[in-house]
Amino acid sequence: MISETAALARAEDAISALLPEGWTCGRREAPAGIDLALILRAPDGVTADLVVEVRGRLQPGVVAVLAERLARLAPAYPVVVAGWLSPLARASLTAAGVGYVDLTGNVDLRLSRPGLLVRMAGAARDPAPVSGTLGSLRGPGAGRAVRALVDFAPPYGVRELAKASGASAPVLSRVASLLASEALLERDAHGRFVGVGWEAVLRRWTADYRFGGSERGVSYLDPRGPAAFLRKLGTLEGPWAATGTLGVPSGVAVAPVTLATVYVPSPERAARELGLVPVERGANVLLVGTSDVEELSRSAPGPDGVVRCAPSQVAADLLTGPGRGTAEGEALIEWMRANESTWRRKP
Amino acid sequence: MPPPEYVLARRVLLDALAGLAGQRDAIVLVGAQAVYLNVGDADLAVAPMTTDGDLAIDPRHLVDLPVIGEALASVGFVPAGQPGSWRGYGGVVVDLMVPSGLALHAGRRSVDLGVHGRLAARLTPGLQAAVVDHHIQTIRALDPADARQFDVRVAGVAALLVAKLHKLGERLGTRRMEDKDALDVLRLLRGSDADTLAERLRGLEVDSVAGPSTRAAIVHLETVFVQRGAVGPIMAARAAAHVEPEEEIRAATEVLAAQLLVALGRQG
Repeated sequence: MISETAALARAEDAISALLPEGWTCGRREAPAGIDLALILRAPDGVTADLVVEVRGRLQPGVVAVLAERLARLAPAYPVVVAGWLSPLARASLTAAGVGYVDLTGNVDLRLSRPGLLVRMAGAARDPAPVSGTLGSLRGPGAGRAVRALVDFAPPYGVRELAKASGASAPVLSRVASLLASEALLERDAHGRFVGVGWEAVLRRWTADYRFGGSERGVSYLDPRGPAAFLRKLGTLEGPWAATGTLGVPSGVAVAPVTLATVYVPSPERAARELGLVPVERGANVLLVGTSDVEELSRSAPGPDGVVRCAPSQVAADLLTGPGRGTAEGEALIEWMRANESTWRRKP
Repeated sequence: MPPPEYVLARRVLLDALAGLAGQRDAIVLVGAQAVYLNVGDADLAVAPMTTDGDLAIDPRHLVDLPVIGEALASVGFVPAGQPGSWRGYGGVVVDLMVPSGLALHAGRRSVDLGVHGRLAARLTPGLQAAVVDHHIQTIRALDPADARQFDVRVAGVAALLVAKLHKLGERLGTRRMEDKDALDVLRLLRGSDADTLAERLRGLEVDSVAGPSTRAAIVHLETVFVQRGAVGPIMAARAAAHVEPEEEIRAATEVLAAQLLVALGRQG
């Protein structure tokens, strides 16, 4: 997130860049409750006071309240500087007598004394839906969005991807703008994703994501061993999805499964059904409770009957989990690189 | 194809079974090969089979002919030194053992089997349950070129467990305890459901032949595997060291032994 000082400076620059030849723009001390106060001076020395409200986005519904507040706080021309303003927000501002400048180039500034009229059209559509306020890819919603971008091969639009993946469209937009700001994905003029560097996105995700970070993992022992556990797992009621070493596609696995890690809706219920004993030492099963199981377990079982999370999830879990998973995660990513067409789907 | 030593061990076992065909009603397969036939490898990466073949002899069902020594000699076995040990093809040994308490005329180790003599088999404690708990199973060669197959009595999981527990329990505190026996206990526990196993053991407990050794074995189960500081789980983990995660094997052995004890109504 950009700092407030930087945001104010950017707003001041945005306005002064619009002024005709010979006009100057200076800052004044802002009254309480006002983000920024500016004084414009025309070549003939006539000045006008501006009070500026700085916003990332502006909901049209708040315009009336905002205009009333600015008018009450200072007898000056109210202007909103925002990242992007929707057509409806712009119309509302004009109707309320509030000027605006958005950073895509939508401008409406009108002063009668000194006389000034600047009107420009910028982006009609939000170029980076939702501000840069999302700074992290932590949390299950962001995880779903990242997995969608990795698991599906572009081109696609946000809605199309949201529909295909089950990720929420607003979260997807927010995640995409964060990733776009870090140049990890590419959009065309219509806002469609045309390039998603899946490996870079995955690695960016692992900077914020931690296996077991937001979910609850419980260690268990299947006293009859991991192989017996896998045989029983196929009979478990309800959804489940393997990750970690067990989640590595069969044939790609480089290490034996010593800790079978499985996402389930409720570890306790699954443990009861599978005859697992909770232990502190010697665990061979880790059950991780998550409400995302339905979405994680979407893929068909492998030839061994194991339902696996998508490789994107398995790689992130291996790379961020405990133990020797990093090497396995790297091996999986290498496989993903060589076999993109087998695991990356069209939306 | 299994490892060559397994193929050889099975071949020599079949040799002995062929020689002793006339005494089949008196023979029960016990030991590692019986464990394997019952529970497979029990998902453990440690080889379950030793090369030796172990046969329990129930003297009550022995007939005079064929005479054991002559029958084994006819298929290539020679005495291997101590009573009951017979060396066959490739040097593989087959041991003939009479469960203690079943022999009418027994010394400390030797047993007088009448026309079969004193050297054909040796007296072995803890095997009584095998002559009670067993089932008939067809045993084939592991070499596809060997077409022989025999229907043989094979000791059941409960009887094998009694024998292993007896061996461990009687040797508790001595250097003669062997880690691999503790791992065999885990194999047997893994390979069977606790309730089924408990029911079999309860049946053996009240049997006139198997009762005393079965009751002793259940006491051993607790002292060697379940009570605080029990060595059994540590021994099993040691036997699987470097191949299986030690903590897991130890915990698994503890848990399954305790579950069996609970199923037997002795704990919990």
